[in-house]
Amino acid sequence: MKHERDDGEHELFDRLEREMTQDGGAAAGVTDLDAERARRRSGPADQHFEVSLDDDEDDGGPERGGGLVVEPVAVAGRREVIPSEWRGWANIRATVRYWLAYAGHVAAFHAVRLPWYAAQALFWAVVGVFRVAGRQIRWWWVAEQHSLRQAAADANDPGTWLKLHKETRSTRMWRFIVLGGEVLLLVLVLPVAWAVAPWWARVAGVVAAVAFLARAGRPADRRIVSAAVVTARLRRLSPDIVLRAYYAAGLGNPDRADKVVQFGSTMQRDASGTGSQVVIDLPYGRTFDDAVKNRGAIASGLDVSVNQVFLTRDATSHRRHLLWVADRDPLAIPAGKTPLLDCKRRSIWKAAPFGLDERGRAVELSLMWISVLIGAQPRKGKTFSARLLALYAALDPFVRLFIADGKSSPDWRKFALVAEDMVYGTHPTRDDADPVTHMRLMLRAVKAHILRVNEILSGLPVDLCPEGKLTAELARDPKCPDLRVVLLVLEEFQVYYELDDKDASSEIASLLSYIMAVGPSSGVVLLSASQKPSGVGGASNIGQLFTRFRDNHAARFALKCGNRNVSEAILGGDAYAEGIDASTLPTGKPYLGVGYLYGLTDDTPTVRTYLADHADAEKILIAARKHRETAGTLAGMAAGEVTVRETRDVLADVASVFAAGETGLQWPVIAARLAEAIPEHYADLSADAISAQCRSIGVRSVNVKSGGEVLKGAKLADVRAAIEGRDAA
Amino acid sequence: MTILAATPSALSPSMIVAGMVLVTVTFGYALSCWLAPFARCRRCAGAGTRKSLLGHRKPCRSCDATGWRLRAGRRIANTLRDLRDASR
Repeated sequence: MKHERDDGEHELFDRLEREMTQDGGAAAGVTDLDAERARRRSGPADQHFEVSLDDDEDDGGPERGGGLVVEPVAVAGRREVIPSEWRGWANIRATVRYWLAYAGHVAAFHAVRLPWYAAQALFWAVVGVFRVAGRQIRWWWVAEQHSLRQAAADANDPGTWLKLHKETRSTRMWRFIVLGGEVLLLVLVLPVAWAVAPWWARVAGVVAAVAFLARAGRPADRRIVSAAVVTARLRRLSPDIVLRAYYAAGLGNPDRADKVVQFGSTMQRDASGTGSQVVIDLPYGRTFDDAVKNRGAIASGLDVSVNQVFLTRDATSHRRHLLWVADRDPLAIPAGKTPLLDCKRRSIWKAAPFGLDERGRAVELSLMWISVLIGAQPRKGKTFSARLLALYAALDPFVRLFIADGKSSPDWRKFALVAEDMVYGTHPTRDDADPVTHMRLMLRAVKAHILRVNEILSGLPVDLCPEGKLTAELARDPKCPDLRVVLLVLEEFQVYYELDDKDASSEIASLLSYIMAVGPSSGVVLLSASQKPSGVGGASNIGQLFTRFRDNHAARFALKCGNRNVSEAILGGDAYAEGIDASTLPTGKPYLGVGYLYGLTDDTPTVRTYLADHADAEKILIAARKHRETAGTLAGMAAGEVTVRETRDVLADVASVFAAGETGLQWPVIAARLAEAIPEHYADLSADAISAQCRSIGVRSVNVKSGGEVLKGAKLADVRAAIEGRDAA
Repeated sequence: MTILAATPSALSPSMIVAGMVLVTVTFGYALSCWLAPFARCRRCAGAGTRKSLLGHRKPCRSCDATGWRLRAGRRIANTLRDLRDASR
């Protein structure tokens, strides 16, 4: 022991001696302060702002191999003087309301549990009395010293024992006095205070004492008051975790200097406060596409769900990208109801609200000049997202709506309130006796509209129509009623390519191809949705036209798809090469209405679409009809106009050809009489065709005897029954 | 002398008292070995020094001049514990 101390002293003296000599040396030379200042000033000025392409190891750039990342920096720029939640009356009201609701919840939560809290507190207060007493006795008796004294006795060290013993005795004496004072206080002062204090002070005192004793008495892990609000526990990203993920995904090798993954920025929370982000530099030669392909492996390495990992291309280098890891799966949080529910007038020339992207930013879709293709598996929100956009257009009273609903579903029925023309399905129904012909007429009308618009526009002076295109002013000019924006909705459009009637299919196909090619630039917006976009069979020409029609859509929105081929059909092959595959979208109820919006911007947002359910749609459409009535633009079907006799009511027609007293007619007779009576529809009707049509709408084909010959035919009673059944439905 | 009468008389009051004294003394000694393991040195009566034959005062060799000795019971306990620890 002594020896060591000597050593230390020697060292100290040696050091002191050295320092003294150094001081002496420095004192000998006088520093020229001005020269020194000049030297310091000129230091940084010598550098200039050229940065070598390759990182210098020691230039203070981003650290190689991801060392400790320096302090996170939030978004650059000035921070708000007054936070946005306290700016403007609406915000202040909302903030105050939020906090009041919060306080109310906490208060109610604890108020309900108050009796249980009281019972628990009383029980633990009893335990607490003994705990506090025991703690004080141990303090008085210097219990923590006991083991030291025992160690001295074990070592047969009477000197140490004696020292400890003496110290203990004096300490115990002093602490005895303190505790005596405390007891005196309790015994003498407390009863007096109790006697003179008002009742509320007594209650407060008892509550405080019980709370204190209960706190002392309860085990540390057993809380009496439970939390009223639970916050989510989130994963905090660290550079080590990120590197682990990238190396585990095979995107680099930490042991080879040319294969290390580097950070291009510091790790930071993103501006919306919903995740962590960092810029990643892959090794030279690895590309953004490699990272996208390995997104699942990166997610696994980060130990998060693949839905939480988002990779964004960086504009400066293809080996660099932004990794954003959301705190929780952002796609499972619904985007909420559509803002269209305020039912105000909208303009198709402005962007339509569509949904929220993975970061909660609003995604808007400017419908003018484009065509939108929406595809997905059935029941994934295809119709809802298409309808969301159509509802926006409906709220602009100057947009003419043409709707072809190939599946004849209730989803689009309410558009009859505003649509100029609507086609339901492909088979005759009560609403539409011959939808295929109707569809042909409607598309012809759209084609005629395109031709008319182009004709008018080319005749207009340049100051009215500067680019030879429709403008927002022209589209609502009452002097040019033909210049309107048209929205053509094609729900399940593939059915019109697969009709039994090949002539009809090929006419519709060529009309659609024409509209797709010329329409968008003439202000015809196409909104197509299909659950079977991968192609149609049948005649090769129709198949080709279908593929061309599908591939010419400018914007594509793919919800959850069954497989990669369907996703490719909707989004195009390029999207798959970029790592966007709608069949990898998550399945499940929370992810309904989630899809990739491709082709509008360079980054493909994963959009959670706003919800407009059946009731919402009806509400919006009723408002849209009011806007149209005010603007005087209600036209066509919605206005109750029947332009041509397109509603061919087969049953009524058939019933009309029965002469009085006839109970049954053979098919050839019916066909001949119809052709004679209503030639515009039945001019070249065959017996087989009318038989097929009637049987498809519930009229039995039975044997009818006429003129000694038994042939198949229809009974009048059956036709009447079918009409009644239809009207009752 | 019947068997029935012999059983209670086997524990006579004097034996009970003796047993209690024995237990008390044993526990008392064990307690003092624990809480006051050191007692005054018998050789120097706790002084730490002794008179030599020539009349000079010299340090007590029995207690290393501390005046304290470890109680025999504690010494036994320490030895037993050391033996047990060594065997582990």
